[in-house]
Amino acid sequence: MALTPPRHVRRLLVPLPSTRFGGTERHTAELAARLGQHGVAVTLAAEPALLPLLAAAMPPGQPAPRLLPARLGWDDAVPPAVAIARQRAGTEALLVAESPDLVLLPLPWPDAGLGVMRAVAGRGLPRLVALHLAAEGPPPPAIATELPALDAEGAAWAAVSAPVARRAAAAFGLAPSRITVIDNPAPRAGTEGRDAARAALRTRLGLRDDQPLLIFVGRLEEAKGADLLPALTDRLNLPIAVLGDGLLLGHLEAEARGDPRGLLRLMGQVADPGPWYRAADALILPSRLEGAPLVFLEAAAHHCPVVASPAALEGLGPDAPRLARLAAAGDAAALADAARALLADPAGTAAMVARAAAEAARRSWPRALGAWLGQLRLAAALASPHHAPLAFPETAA
Amino acid sequence: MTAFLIGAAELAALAAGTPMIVATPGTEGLAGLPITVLRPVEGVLRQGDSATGPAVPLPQGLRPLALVAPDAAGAAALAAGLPHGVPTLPANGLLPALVARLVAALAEAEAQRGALHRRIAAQPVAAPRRVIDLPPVPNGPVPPARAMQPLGRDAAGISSLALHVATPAKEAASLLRVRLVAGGRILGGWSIAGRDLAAGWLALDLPEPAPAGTGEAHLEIALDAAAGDGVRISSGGPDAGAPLALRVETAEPGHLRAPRHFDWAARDLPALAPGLVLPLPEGAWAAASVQGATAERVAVGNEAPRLLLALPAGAEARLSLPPMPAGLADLALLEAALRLGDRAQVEVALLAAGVEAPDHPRHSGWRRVDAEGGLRVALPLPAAPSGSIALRLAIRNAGPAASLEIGRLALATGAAGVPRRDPAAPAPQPPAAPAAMPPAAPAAMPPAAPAAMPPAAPAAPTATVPAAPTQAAAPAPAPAGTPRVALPAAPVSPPPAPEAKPTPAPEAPRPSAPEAKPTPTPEAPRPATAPIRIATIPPAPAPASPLLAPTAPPLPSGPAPSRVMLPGSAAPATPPPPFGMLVPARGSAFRVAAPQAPLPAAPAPAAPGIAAPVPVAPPVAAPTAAPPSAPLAFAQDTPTATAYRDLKLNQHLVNKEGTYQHLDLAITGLVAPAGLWRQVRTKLFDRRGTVGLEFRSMKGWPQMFDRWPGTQVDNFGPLWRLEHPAPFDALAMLATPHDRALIAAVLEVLPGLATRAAGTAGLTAEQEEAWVGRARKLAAAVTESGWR
Repeated sequence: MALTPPRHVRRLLVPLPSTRFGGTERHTAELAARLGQHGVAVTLAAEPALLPLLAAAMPPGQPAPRLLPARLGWDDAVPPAVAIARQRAGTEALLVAESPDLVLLPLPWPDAGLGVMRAVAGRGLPRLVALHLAAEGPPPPAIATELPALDAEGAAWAAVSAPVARRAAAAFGLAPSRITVIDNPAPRAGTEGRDAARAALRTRLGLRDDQPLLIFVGRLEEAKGADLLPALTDRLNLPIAVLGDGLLLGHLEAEARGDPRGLLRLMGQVADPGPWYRAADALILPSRLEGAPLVFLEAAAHHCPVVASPAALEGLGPDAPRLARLAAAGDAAALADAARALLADPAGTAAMVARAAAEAARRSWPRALGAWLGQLRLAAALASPHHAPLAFPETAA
Repeated sequence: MTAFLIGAAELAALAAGTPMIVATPGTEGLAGLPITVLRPVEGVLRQGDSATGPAVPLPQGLRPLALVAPDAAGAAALAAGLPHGVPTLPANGLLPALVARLVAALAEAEAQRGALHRRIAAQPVAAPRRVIDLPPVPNGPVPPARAMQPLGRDAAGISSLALHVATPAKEAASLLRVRLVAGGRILGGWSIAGRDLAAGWLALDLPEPAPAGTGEAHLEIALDAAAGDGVRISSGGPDAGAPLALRVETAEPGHLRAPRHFDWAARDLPALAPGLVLPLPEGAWAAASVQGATAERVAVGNEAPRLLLALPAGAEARLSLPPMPAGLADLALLEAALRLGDRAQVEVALLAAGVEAPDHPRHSGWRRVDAEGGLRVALPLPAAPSGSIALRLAIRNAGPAASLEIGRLALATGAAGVPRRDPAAPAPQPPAAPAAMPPAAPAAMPPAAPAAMPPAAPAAPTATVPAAPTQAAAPAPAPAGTPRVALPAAPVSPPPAPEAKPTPAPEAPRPSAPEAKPTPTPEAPRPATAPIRIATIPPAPAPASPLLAPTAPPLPSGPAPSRVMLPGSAAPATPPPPFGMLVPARGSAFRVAAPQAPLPAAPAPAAPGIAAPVPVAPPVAAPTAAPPSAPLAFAQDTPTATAYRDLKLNQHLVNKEGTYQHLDLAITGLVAPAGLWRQVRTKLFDRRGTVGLEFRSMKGWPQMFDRWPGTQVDNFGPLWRLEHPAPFDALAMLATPHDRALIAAVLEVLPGLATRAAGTAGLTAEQEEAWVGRARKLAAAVTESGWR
C-alpha cells in the first residue's frame, strides 16, 4: 500500500475550560507559546479574566500565541447538562471562526471540558486531550452520560502523571496504555544569588540570619492544604512565609493576627518566587491532591528542599521519597515531624536536594515539547479518514 | 602614459599565481576582499599604499586578473598603464563580476593545464617510484572489514596503490571498496568485485597523479564478503593492529592511466564528514509502501512530515522504501518513537539490501524502544556493486494497538573513516621514502593479544551468550561452528577483536626509512593515528547478527511457522528461540514470521536447573557468513552522538543482604565524537543507594584510559570509582581529554546499556526501570557537578 500525502497541522486551537489560574493554565500558556515557535499558528481561547495571566505566563522573548476571549470555563454552579451546552455552543463558535486543523484540550479536571469535547468530536476533528488532575474515586457522573458522544478512542490522550492517567482512563473507559504520560517540565534555575536572597528576605521578615525559614507557595485553599499552615507554625515554632492568594486568605489573616509570635507571614502573590526558593530552608507542600506539582519542580530547580504530604507528590511515583521529605500522613503533626527531620539532617537533605535538582534538570521543555508534538501527530493520525479504527481488546471486552 | 612598474614582492606573488586585481586609489569597497588588490603608487603597482622597495617592469605574459575603477575615466587611466586586454570590472556591483572573472580565469587555467597535459602525454614520462612497500606477512592478523589506513604522507604525486589479497574471493558478489582521501576530498575510489579479487597484489591506479597540496592521505577500505566467502586482504605485520600490506607509487604529472575498477563518479567529491545525516527525500516516501499497518504522514507546524504507523494488536508490518543510491553514505539511521502502545511488546528491525541482492539484507536485529519510548538504530549499509540500496523496516507488535512514529530515516556517514584516537600510538613518523618500510620483525613482537574479554573474565557469561571464539575478528565469514542464539534484546557479542592499540614496547618496529623527508607542516597537528598503524572502524562482527543469514534453511511447512531457526542457531528440533525471526526466502524479499506470544523476558543467566537455549549444532544449510555487521546502537539525541556496537553482560550480581548489586558490562565499539574505544568494561553498581561506575586495571579488563585515574587499590588491584553523591572529585582525576570523553561517552549510553543488560539478565520491568534510573541518576549527578 502506497503512502498517502502528508497531513499538515498548521492551525491549532487550544480551548482552555479553566475558571482560575494555576499550574494547568501556566503549563498550557507555555506549551502554546512553544508550539507557536515550532511553526504552528496557535490560538489560545479562555475566559477573559484569565487572558492577562496567560499572557504573563508566556515565556519572555518569544512571540506569544493569539489569545482569544471565550466563555469556555466550566461552571460548577449550574447542572452539568447546562454547563456542557454552554461550553459546546462556545466551542462551536470557535471552531467555525478558527477552522483549526487540530484541537489541544487541556483539562484541569476530567469533566471540565465535556462540552468542548462534544463539539470537537462531533466534527471529527483531530484532538489531543491533556489531563492535568484527576482525583481518586468514582468518576464524575457527567462523563459517563456524555461518553457515547465523545468518541474517546478517536482522540489522543496525555496526562502529566501516572496516577492522573490511570484515573482518567477509568473515567473515560480507555485502556490504560491509551494515555501517555508526559512529565511536566521544570523551570531552569540554580543556586545563584542564594546568600544574597537569604540575607535580603530574612531582613525583610525581621529574622536572624541563622533562623530557619519555611515557605508555602500556592493557592490558599484546602486542596493545597493551606488550612494546615497555622497548626504547622504552632508545632514547629518556626516562621512560614506564605506566597499566594485564595479563598482561605481571610481565615489565614485572622490566624496570623491572633498569633503574638507572628510566625505566619502572608506575603500575597509574588510575581517571581525564585528568591524565596533560594532563601528558604524548605518548601512546605501539604496538598491533598496534585497532578504533577509545578511548585515542587520550581523548588527542586532552585535547590530548595521540600517537605510534602504523600498526596502532594503522588505524581512522582516511587521516586517521591528520594526527592522530598515525605510526611507519614497529610496532617499537620506528620508534616511538622517531617519538617523537623529535614532540618535536623543537613547531609541527607543536601543529597535529597541534589537528586531533586537532577530530576528537575532532566525535565526540560525541549524534552517535553518533543513528547507533546508526538502526541499531536498521533492525534492527527488517529482522526485521519485513512485510519482504520484501532482494536483494543481490553476495552472491547 | 607609461606602463606601470610593479613592486618586486608583488611581482613574486603574481608570478606564483596569486590572483590580483588593480584598483584606482580612490576605489572603495575593496577592504576585506579575499583577493589581493594592487594600487598604483607613484607609477608602481603595490599592495599597500605606503609600501616601498624595488620596482620592476611587469614581465610579458603576467597580468592581473582585472582592473577596478569607479568610472570610465579612471578605468581608462589604469588600462593605459597595464598590458592590453586586462578586463575592467565595475566598482559598483563588484562582487558578482569578480566571481565571474575568477571562474573564467579558472577555466582558462584548466584549459592551459589540459593543453599541457596533452603535450606531456606525448612525451616519455619517468617511471613511477615506489614510496611505500609493505609486503604481506604470512599468517598475519586479519585486517578488519572496515578500516582506515593512514599513509603517513602527503597525497601529492600518488599515482597507484596496491593492496594484497591473502585469500581470493570465491563469490562474485563479494566486494572490496577502497577510497583514497586527502584534505577532505576523495582523490580516487575503487570498487572491486569478487571475481577480480585474486590472490596477490591488487593494483589500484589513479587516472593521473594526485595534485600537490592535498594534505595527508589515508585509505578507507570496506571489504564485504558474500556468504560463504573467506576473502581477505593481507596485513603488513604480525601483530594485531598491524598496517595493511601496501604498495604506493608516485609519478610525474604526465603519468596518465585509464584505471581499472575506478569509480569515476566518486572522484574529487568532498569526503563527507562523519555524522553527516541525509534524510530520505519526499520522493522516496512517496514511493514507499506499507503492509500490515495503516500509515499516515503528519507534519505539525513547519517540521518535515513524519510517518506514523498504526499497528493493530498482534500486527506484523513492513515498510519498504524504494532503492536509492547510497553515495558516500555508509550507515542507515532510524529514529522512531512509540507514541502509543506497550513499549515492551513492539519491536522494530531495520534492513538494508543492495538492489542486486534484495534477499540478503543486512539488518539490525529486533530492537525495542527505550524507557522513554525512543529508538535509534544505525545500520552499516551493505555493499552493493551498483551503489543502490533499499531500506526496509519490519515491525511487530505483540501487545495492544500501537502507533510508531518514524521520526527520521536517513543515510549517514558514520564511524567509517573516523580516525581512532589512539593514545598509545607514537607521534606521527616522517613519511616513508622510496626505501621499503621494514616489515615487522616477528622476533621482536609480542604475540598478538586479543583485548576483548578473555573467557576467564570473573563473571560468568550469560547463558545465552556463547563463549566468544578466540580468533581475531574476521571481516565477514562466521566461524562455521560457532553456535548462536537469537536474542534481540541482547545480541550476542562479536568475537573479540584484536586490540588495535599498537604495542607500546619500544622495540616495536616503527615504519621509518633513513631517507625519510620531514613532514612539510610539522607544526600542524597531524591525524592522531600513526602513519601506518591501522585504525579500526568498529569491526564488523560477522557472526553477531542474531536474526538473519543469507542462506536460511527452508521454512518449516505447516501452520504458523512462527519460530524459525537460524543458521548458526539451534536445530529445528530444539526449543524455539525467544523471538520470531526475519527469514530470508528465495524469490521474495523477506518474510516476517508470526510471533506467538507476548515477548517473554530474556532468559536468565545460567543457573542450575535452568536450561538455556544453547544451540546444539550448527545448521546444515548455513555454511558461514551472517550479515557482516552488527548495528551501532545510538545513545541519545542526535545521530552524531555516542553509540556502541554491542554489549555483553558479564554478570548481574546481588549480594545476600541485598545491599549491593551490580551489572558488569562489556561494551564493544564505543563511538563518540571525541573518540572510539574498541573495548570498554565497567560495573554499574548500587551500594546501599550509592550508584556508581567501577573501572579496574586487572586481567580481563581492557586498557581504556590513557592514564589510570586515581590511586585507589584493593585486593584485586587498582580501581577507580565514580559515585553519584560526589562525582566531581573522581572526575577531577581524569587526566586527559580522551579519558574524559570516555567517561562522558559511557554515561551517555549508560541508560541504554542498563536497559539491554537488564533484559539480558531477565530482570523484571521494575528492576529494569531501577537500573535505568540508576544510570540516569549517575549521569545527572555528573551533569549537576558542573563537570565539563
